Amino acid sequence: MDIKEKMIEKSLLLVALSSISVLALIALFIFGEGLPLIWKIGPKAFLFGERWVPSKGEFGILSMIAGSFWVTLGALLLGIPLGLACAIFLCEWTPPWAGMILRSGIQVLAGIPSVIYGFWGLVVLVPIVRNYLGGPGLSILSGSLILSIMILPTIISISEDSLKALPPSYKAGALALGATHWETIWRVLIPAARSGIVASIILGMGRALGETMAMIMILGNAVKMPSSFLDSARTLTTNIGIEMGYATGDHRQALFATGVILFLIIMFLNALAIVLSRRRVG
Amino acid sequence: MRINRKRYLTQKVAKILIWMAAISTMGVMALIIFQVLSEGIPVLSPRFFLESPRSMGREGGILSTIIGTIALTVVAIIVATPLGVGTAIFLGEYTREGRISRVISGSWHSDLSGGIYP
Repeated sequence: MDIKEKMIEKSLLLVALSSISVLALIALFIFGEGLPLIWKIGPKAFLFGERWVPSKGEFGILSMIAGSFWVTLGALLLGIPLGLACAIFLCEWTPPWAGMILRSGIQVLAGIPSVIYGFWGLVVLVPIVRNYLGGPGLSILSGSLILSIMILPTIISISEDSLKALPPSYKAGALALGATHWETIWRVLIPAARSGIVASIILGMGRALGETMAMIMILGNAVKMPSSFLDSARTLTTNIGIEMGYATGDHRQALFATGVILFLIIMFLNALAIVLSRRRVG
Repeated sequence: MRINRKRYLTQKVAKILIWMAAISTMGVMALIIFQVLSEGIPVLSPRFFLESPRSMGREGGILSTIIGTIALTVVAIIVATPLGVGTAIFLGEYTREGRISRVISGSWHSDLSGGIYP
């Protein structure tokens, strides 16, 4: 009986360890494939090189870092105010019927796979941008618009939860001191829920940075430094997604190296989200 | 009196802006769903589900892709269930809250939400 119990415990430990070691192995593999190439051509040439010509052995990912940066920034510029406004709407100003519609809508938005967003963007949004604003339409602007819709559920639901989690005395106190409802929200509730809101934004940012499929379909994938919001661009993720199918040798390693950079950025953002969300405002 | 009026005006403006944000979010969401459905539903027919793609997907249906999706999902669940449930039992019954259990469960992640939902 005792031995059997021990064995079960050990085998469960093994199962538990194997489920995280898969993750560790993947990370190890990516770094093992990617790092040698970064050393080979030099971290500086890799990170700050503007030319990406795999056939000539030139691997500079600056334009893709810029692409990822601009698309994500655009998504956040639109997604944060909209998301925060919806979160406030949901916990402070909603008539019940509107809250129900918005909440179930957000669940639907969160459940739509990213290909559908990409497809919709390509068919609807891209022609609109091309016809009214010029450029190829497959652009950072279209990508940002789609991404901002995609990160809305993350921002709204986490911000809403952090606003809801505040002690009711905050609101009651502010109102009792003569603040208007809006002043209570803006000066008291939002600052108090700041850590959760910041965490929601960083998680949304992580999602935007990691998005691949929709961006392959919408961004146009040109390898050049984007100079305006109407230029097409390529992000770190789409670079891997597009070229992995046919890459060999150094080229393949360069894609893994791109993955290493992406991995580091996302890890950094997650760590930041954890640190910021732990800090409570008392 | 004048100050008060300004404060209530600010509140009105903020309220209008927030309503607009909420409505436009609902609008976008409705637009996406409506367009996907309105483009897609007319094409659906029993044959669409029962035939495989022909001539590079220009004709025929999506039977083979449906079966592919189901097969992929079933295999993924078969592999993931013992691993996931086993890990959950181990974490729930055999470990106390500690560094190792947190690393395994990635509960730094639920910790993240833990910081948000107290």
